[in-house]
Amino acid sequence: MKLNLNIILALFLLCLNLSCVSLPQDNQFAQILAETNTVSPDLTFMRLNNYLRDYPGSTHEKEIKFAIGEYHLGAKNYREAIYSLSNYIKNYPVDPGTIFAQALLYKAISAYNQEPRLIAKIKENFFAKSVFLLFSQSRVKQYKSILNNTYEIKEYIDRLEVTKNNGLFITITP
Amino acid sequence: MAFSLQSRRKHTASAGACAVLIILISIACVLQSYISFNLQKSKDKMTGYLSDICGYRLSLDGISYSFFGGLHLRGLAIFYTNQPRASVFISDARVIINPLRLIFRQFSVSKITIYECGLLSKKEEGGLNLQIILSDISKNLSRTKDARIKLIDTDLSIRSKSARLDLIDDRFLYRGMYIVFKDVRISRYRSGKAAVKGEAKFSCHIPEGHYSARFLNNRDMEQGLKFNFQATAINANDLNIDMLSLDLGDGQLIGTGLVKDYLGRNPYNDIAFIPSNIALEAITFLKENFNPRGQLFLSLRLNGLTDNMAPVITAITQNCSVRYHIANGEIFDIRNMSGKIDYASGLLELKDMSLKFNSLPIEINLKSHISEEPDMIISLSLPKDFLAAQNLPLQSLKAVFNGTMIKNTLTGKLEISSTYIRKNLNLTLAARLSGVDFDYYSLKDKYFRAKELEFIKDNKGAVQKLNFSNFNTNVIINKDFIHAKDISAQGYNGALNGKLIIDLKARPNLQFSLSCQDLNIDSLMRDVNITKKISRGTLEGKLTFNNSLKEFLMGSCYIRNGTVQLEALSETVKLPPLQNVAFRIMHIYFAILKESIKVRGVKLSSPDVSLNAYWDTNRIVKGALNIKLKSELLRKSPQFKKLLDLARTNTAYVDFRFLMGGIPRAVRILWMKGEFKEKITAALPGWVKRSIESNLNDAIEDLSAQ
Repeated sequence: MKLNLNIILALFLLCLNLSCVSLPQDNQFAQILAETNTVSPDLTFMRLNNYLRDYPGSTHEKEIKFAIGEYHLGAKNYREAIYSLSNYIKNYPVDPGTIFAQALLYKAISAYNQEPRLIAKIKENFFAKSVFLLFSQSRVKQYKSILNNTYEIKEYIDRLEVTKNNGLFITITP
Repeated sequence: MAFSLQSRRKHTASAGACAVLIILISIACVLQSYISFNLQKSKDKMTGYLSDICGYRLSLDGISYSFFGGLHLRGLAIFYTNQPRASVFISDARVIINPLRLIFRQFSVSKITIYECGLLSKKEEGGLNLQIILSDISKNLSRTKDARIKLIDTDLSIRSKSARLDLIDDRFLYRGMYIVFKDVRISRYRSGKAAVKGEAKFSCHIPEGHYSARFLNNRDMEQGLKFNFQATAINANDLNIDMLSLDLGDGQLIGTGLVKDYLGRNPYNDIAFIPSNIALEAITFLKENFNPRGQLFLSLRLNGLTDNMAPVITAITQNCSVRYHIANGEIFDIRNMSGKIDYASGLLELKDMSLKFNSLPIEINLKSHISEEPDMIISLSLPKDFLAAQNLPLQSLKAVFNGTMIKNTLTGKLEISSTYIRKNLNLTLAARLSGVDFDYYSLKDKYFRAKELEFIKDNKGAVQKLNFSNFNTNVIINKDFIHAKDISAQGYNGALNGKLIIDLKARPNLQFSLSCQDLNIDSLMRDVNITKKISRGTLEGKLTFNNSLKEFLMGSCYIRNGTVQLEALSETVKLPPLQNVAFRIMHIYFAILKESIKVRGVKLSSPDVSLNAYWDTNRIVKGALNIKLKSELLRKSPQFKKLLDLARTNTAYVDFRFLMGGIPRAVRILWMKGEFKEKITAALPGWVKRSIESNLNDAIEDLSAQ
């Protein structure tokens, strides 16, 4: 009886300790996120790039790559934005963030070089599926990036509205 | 005294001279008469002798001689083999011979004058009869060795004041043809050179029943020209044509060539003319019938054996015009005709010929074997820029006829096709008529019949078609319009009627309308391949086209007493199965514009379901759908029963109204406000509503994937 109790206690302590263990890369990532609002976006961008370089294949790779594309777009580095967002969409075709990456890419292309075929292809992707709006005028999807930007896509019957932090980002019609 | 003696001597001398002259003239007259008498007396002997030498039967009505006029021949005829009619008939000719040579038993002819001559050309075994006669006579004469007299080769001049050459040839185009020659001068020199010049007029009469006769004011085809021919004999057998010129008045052709074995029975000819501009008015037949204007850049070659010489013609027209008009008002006004015409071995081709037919621009390609009943392939199409100018989204509009002209009607197959352009979606539309019989000859109403009529729409490999039979219409062609009236056809146990008008006044306008009654839906849907979801019933419809309207193609159809499968709808919204829904009437109305298709008034009426919709579709979809479902039917679905109870709906029918958007491949539907929706929205908690929406969207995605 005493032995069983000891075993249970040892197991409990082990689990407790394990739960407190944090890997060094997770610490670094958490630190980067924590300082996002306090430091300049350029510094955050640099830190995220270093993180990717130091920890390739990490579980945060997707979010970071999205954030990189986001950063370039925000800084009006359209060419880099198009490149990084296109890669994101190519590498993660069915990710929940992909549709938002497409929205950012659409914005970048519209501002940069207005390539009609690419714009048409993105529109085709947005309107590729039938939608049945029963009880609401629109269907909403949300995504929050690690740069603390909240994106919302509202699908109406005749258009798509993308908002960023509750402000209208772009409107896309078929 | 001395003076009078001198004058007396002179007087005596002149009187003596006159007396001598008179005596000489008298002797000459007597001699001349004697010779003429003897010639006439021995005429039969002479003709017999000449017949033996030449190898052909000769006959001569009369012969006489004068010192100044030479031999005078009357009624000289040469017969080919046993033909009753002379191949050569000279009614009156004078042959100048050298009388001094006769003393030395030499016969030399320097000049022949023919006042009137008739020639009969007929194809015999081995060549043309006239050529055979010439060949045989020249060979026989050169072989003849008669001690009594010798034929001397000398320069010869032949002049024919009037001659007519009749062609006996059953071949089409040559039948009844003859050539009248005027003032022909032939010079033949011992050096081997020859020259011929004169005037010729080709004539041919188009008989009453000929397929072109009705269009001609003057059925006598005549063409006059002046010719000049110079040649040199080479190699003893061949004749090199140094120059052959044909002067039509307003245009001249100059050629050179070779005649191989020119004294043979059937020489081979190869004559090529330098390409030249010929005014259309210079061609008399065209001038008298069709008021032509413009020029042909004509290249002509004649080659082949003499009895089968084939012309090869290439002509390029540039901005030519012809105008045909007949008393009843039938007018064809053809302008700006430009293109290529080829003729060889009986095959006539018009290549890439563009013209305006009564102000309608047309491009023509034609291939036809010219014969009694010519077969042909003719393609008529409207130019692309013309279609674009009419604001029509058509890439092409073309009609191709493949058939034969038989007894004043056109029989064969006709295909009318068009490519309709929509964004990323070209549709090929065609109407094929087989067993066509078109009475083009008739002055007013021309009947047009076809045994089979097939409408085909090819949309990226998915072929849809409609088949009808016994197509009939009457066509009126006028300067200002083409009208196909009283169109009728049969098919699918029903009938098709309509009319077509092409208005050619200021701006060409095409209108047609077709209506159909009592078409059987089952057989129709099998062919038309639109949907398998509608069966049974009969269809009544109307289709109208007018290129001047924004909605250039409009149609409506009623399907009565049919059955429709609505499983897709029932599966999507979790209704009880809606299979074999019988309806009293279904009505569809649509209109096609340049960039979009509008569907208005899709109505379906049945005891359980009534549907009413409209939408526009091109790149995007815009529309509305109203469905009324019987409450009793809805209650058969457990989910809907609960919803109806929740909404406390007691009406016999429940209305659903939807808005449609999105793109044709992925339609978006919004359920609009209504009494039932208001009640449901108020009664259901949020998570239930979200779940219903989510399940519905999943169902639609699955449906779309299917």
